[in-house]
Amino acid sequence: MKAPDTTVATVRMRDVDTQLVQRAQHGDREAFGLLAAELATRFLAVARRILRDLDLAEDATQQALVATWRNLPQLRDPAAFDAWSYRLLVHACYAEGKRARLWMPNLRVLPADEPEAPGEFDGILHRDELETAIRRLSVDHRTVLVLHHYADMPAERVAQVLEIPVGTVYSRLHHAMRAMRAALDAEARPAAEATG
Amino acid sequence: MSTDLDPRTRVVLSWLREDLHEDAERVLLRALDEVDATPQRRSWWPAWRTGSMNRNLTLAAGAVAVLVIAVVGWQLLPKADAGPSTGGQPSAAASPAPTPAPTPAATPVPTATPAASPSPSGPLSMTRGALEPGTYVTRPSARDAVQWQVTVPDGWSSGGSWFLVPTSLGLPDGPDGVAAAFLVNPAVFIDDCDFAGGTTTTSTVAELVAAIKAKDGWTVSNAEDASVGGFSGQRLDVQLPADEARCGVGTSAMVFGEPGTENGFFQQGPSQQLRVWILDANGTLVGLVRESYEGSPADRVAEAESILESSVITP
Repeated sequence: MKAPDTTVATVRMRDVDTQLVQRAQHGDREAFGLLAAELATRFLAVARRILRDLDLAEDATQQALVATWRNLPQLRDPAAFDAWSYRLLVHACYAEGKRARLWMPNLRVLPADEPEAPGEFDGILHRDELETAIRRLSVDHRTVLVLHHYADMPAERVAQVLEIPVGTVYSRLHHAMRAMRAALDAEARPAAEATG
Repeated sequence: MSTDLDPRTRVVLSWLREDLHEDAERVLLRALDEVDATPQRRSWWPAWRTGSMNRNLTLAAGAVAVLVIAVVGWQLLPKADAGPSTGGQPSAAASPAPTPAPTPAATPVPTATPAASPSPSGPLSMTRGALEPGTYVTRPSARDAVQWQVTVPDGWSSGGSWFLVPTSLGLPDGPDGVAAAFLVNPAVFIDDCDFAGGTTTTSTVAELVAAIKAKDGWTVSNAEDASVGGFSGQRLDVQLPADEARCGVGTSAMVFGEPGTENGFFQQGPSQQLRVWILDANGTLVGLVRESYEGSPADRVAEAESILESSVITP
């Protein structure tokens, strides 16, 4: 099922009200409450897609929101709040992932050559394969995939959030998408053989 | 998103963007409950930074803050007919108790004349705000009775009990800020980028010099013997890393701090330079710090150094 555009819009990087950020930096809990209400929805959505588990995602979101509050006075530039707060979320996802021993240590071996593109796919039919494939990705690859393709962050922004070179972002995106496509190919191959 | 993607890519993207109907309300309420019981990490910090406030706004806010303090102070002063004034110079015993931690909004560099009354015979009590040229005394640390007396030239302001800045430059941020500061028992952070990681524990000049020289990424000169205000120690120059964003976007690296107080330095701009005097004041470690940047006016940097060299320290 294709996601409605409004869903994506809720997690897009938006300009957070820097006045709210400044008030929260100065200890204004009411301002932080408003800020947190905006962050919580997108944090939870992103965390869930990285962690693939709602309970873990809720815990990571809670950790990230509290860390945001606690560390706000250290934020040098309120205009950088978005990238800074996403970094706290990603750290929380890593922590939750470790706690749950969820992560596969490395990207799995991929086929050397991708097969020819099959015909049209139906997303619903391939959900299990995609879920399995994304769980096999390392957290690094999953995070880049989600931030770029779900949270709609340009690669440069992802690099900023994760503090890695842009080239590394592109590399991870390439490998992650290749693995996801390969999962679809693996699923499609037996069907093609059966009908051929 | 382009529509001519590989069909498999389209499937992956469509799947990634599926609405999973998360309800964030529960986690938001849990987080806010925890926030209610969680203090912010602000216990040490000089509230120098004002985020994106522009300098005019900062100065205006400072002027208002000082005006309020001056009016309140005037109301609290004994009236002329209430009895004879005892006169005399301000003494340490008469200094007010340390005030609660200021918030950044309340700590701009003020521009108004301080409310402190001049004394004809001795140093003035240093009050936050623009200072007339003269000799001032302050107790910089909320945890220690050490007194710092300095001679201040024209055009300088006190940003608090422990640092001075040129009024025209305002807060000591890059690319051109200048400050002269006084720290009691200063310490360096074990990890510049980890506030919670703690500070080095040093109790002698040699130990603190060694801790500074051991910092990764700091360029530190050889320490030279130095003496200020009758106390001896060492002086060294520190060049902080050029990359002020090395701790991540929007996160300041931490430089020096005085444990248990708000006094301390962030890295506040690129190419930040510190000249540091570390002195042993009868067993109390004292740090005098001249802060500047590549763009700092040379005359103001020289004045900062003169201010520090005029220090009279009373442990």
